[in-house]
Amino acid sequence: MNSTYLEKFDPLQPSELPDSSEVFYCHLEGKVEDSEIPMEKIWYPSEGSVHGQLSKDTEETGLSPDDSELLETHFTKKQLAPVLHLRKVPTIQSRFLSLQKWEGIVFKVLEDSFIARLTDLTEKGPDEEAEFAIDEVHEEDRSLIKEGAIFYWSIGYLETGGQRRRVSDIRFRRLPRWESKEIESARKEANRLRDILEWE
Amino acid sequence: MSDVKPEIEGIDIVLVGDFNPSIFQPAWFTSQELIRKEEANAARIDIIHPEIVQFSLEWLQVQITRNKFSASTSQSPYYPVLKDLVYSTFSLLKHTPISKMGINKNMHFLMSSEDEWHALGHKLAPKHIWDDILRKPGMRSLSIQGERPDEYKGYVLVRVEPSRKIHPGVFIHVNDHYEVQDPKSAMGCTEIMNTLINSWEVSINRADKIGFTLVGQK
Repeated sequence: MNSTYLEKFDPLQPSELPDSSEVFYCHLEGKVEDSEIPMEKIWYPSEGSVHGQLSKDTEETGLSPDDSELLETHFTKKQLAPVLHLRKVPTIQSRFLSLQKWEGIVFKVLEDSFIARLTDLTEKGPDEEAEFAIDEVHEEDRSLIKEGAIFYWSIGYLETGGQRRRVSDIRFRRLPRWESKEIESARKEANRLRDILEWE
Repeated sequence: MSDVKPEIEGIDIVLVGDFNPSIFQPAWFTSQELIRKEEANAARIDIIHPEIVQFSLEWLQVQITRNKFSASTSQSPYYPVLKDLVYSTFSLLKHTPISKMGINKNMHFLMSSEDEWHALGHKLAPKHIWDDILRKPGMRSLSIQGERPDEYKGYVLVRVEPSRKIHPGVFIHVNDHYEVQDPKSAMGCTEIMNTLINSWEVSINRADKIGFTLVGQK
């Protein structure tokens, strides 16, 4: 066995696995065992909930057959040869019921606010302009407020553990920080193309 | 487009290639300013191991093994954020060999009645073929694969099953599978990342259309 992969039993709501999944089983087969990595090296939180199985290689990019919504028989089979038994701790998954979504682009930054052009992602319509208080933006995103910056704005209900609250979420697009040599390289490439095209 | 909306939905970007799982820890994403520090500090870490890393944030689940990277969200406002995160990650790790990508959508539709639910199953998998072979045959899972409708290499695979989360409901999984044109000459992950950026919206719309069309088959 040359490689391994993690099968996800349920990517959406792990807390809703079949009852038989109260204890999760992490089968570490294949590469892990073949390479004789001591099991003690596997780190997991004391109240961890690893739910998965390492098994044969797959090159599929969709659900594997065992990821099917109908897991009963597969799941029972997987319990036969567990290596690690980790108790499942039910997780509270939040769910966002989106009412409206926009993509925004900042075109003017003021002292305490910024002005942006908004494209409605929920329904097609003309672009709108809006002014946002900088306080509305998460503290860690404020350094990203620059002219040309893209952000996503959603209004909806956040449901967590039976509680529902109305929320407005602004999240700025995070792109990699480019190194100065990469910027310089891109500038040179742009200059080269400009020369080829004979732009002034 | 239909007014029917999935009760539960999610998107999963799966990449097949050659990964070093240990890199992909919340602290690394924060150091590259790809996720907020506050989120990284609150991350739920399931396992960190040279062979496998799995953690989740409030809106994101990440799993990485030696040959597969998967990032998913079940919160629709974060779909473009998910795409940006994957793109940014592999813009930084541009030498990571990636040969295949799935832009996958999961949808759970609530049917208005059990009759309608059964009718959809009968329509997609007619039972008269099975009536003489099985007693009370019922559709548990149906997979249909089609050729890509564009210039990319790959396929579109659709799976339909009764939903385990809602009743009477239908679960539809669309695996929009892309592959590099020539795995031998492909370098790093530029081709797949360009595909992600160029095909993202089309893939999501295609998955929605497939879901709505199938649910509309009563």
